[in-house]
Amino acid sequence: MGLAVSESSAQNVVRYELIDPDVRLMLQVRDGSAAAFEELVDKYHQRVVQFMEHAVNRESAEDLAQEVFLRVYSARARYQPGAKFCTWFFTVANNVASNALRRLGTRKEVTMTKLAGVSSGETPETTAAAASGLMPTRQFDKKELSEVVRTAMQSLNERQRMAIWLSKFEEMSYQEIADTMELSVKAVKSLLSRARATLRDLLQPYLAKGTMPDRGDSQTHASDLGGD
Amino acid sequence: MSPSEYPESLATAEVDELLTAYLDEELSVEERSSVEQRLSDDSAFRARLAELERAWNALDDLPRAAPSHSFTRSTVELAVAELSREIRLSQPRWKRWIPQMLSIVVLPIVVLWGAYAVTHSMRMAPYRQLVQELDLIEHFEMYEKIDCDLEYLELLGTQGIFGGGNSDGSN
Repeated sequence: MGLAVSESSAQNVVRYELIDPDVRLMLQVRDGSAAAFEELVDKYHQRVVQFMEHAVNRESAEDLAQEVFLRVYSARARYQPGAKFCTWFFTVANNVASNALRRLGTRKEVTMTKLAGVSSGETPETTAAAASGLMPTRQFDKKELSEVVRTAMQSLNERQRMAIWLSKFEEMSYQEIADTMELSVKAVKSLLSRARATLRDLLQPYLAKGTMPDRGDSQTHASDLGGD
Repeated sequence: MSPSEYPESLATAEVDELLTAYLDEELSVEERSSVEQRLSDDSAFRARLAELERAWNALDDLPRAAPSHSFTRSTVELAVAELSREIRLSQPRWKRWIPQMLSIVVLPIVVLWGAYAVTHSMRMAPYRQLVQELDLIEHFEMYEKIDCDLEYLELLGTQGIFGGGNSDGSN
């Protein structure tokens, strides 16, 4: 039994070493190559900073990303490729993000009132006009859309945000997300489905009409914000 | 089409789960063909799929931070510091204590020895001249009996008559 497990583990090492260049880099880091570590940092830093920006917050993103790399470096001696490198890497990132969120003790409650007022350059007067129905709709530009999407993303809970990020931007399969977040595939399927449905409910008014909604619409959708 | 316009059976978590898995290409071949069949028959089902997909595509517009230029360098520096710490911690405990032990034992000895040397030097200062002139003192009675010119004796001294090379009486 023990022998079988060890053989399977050895096969995994060889398999992932062959198919994943980042696994090969990490194995070089394990063998003491500083250049390989620098290459990994260079390759992943933007992705992990952006992950932290959306999983935790913008202010702590770089510090947390550095913490991820230091954890990876500290764990190099124990590294055994049992998955693609990015799955292992984002498991570390996910743990760092979860710890940070626990420390911060925040679960951001984003109200749709805030969502309605995110557009940059919007003055109190225009907000008031929109709220009163004097300016019910207007075209919104790409920057505004970007802020609306960001706020919608922030309205998801922590696990939904992470799952969405890994699926959308790291292009992970359900199995890889399950490994990264230490969940079952079924749980990931359900998590992503609810997250996508929530995003749809929040963004649909903007995307369908290409307009900023009035306050009445916003408050209607506030009740649709669901937890996990 | 607002959510309230969907048939009751459609506005369910199961449908969203099915459509999400379809979009994520996580369905089996049979499930996929079943979804596609329903998509061709059911406009509400099709509309729901389009909305989910549109919201998903909107995520491409998320603002994304650019890390600072010095990120890689400062991260590698932190890793080097971590490596130094690991090396220090990997030494046996007793080796790590050597510098501390040396400073604890040797430093007081040096300080005490210095203090003793200074005190001793100060205490001996009055006797230093006596020690220098000990030879003269020992032979003082003999020198007293000699009725001689001092300058002449000094001259004899410089010539080595008294067994030394000088006349200061130290030999």
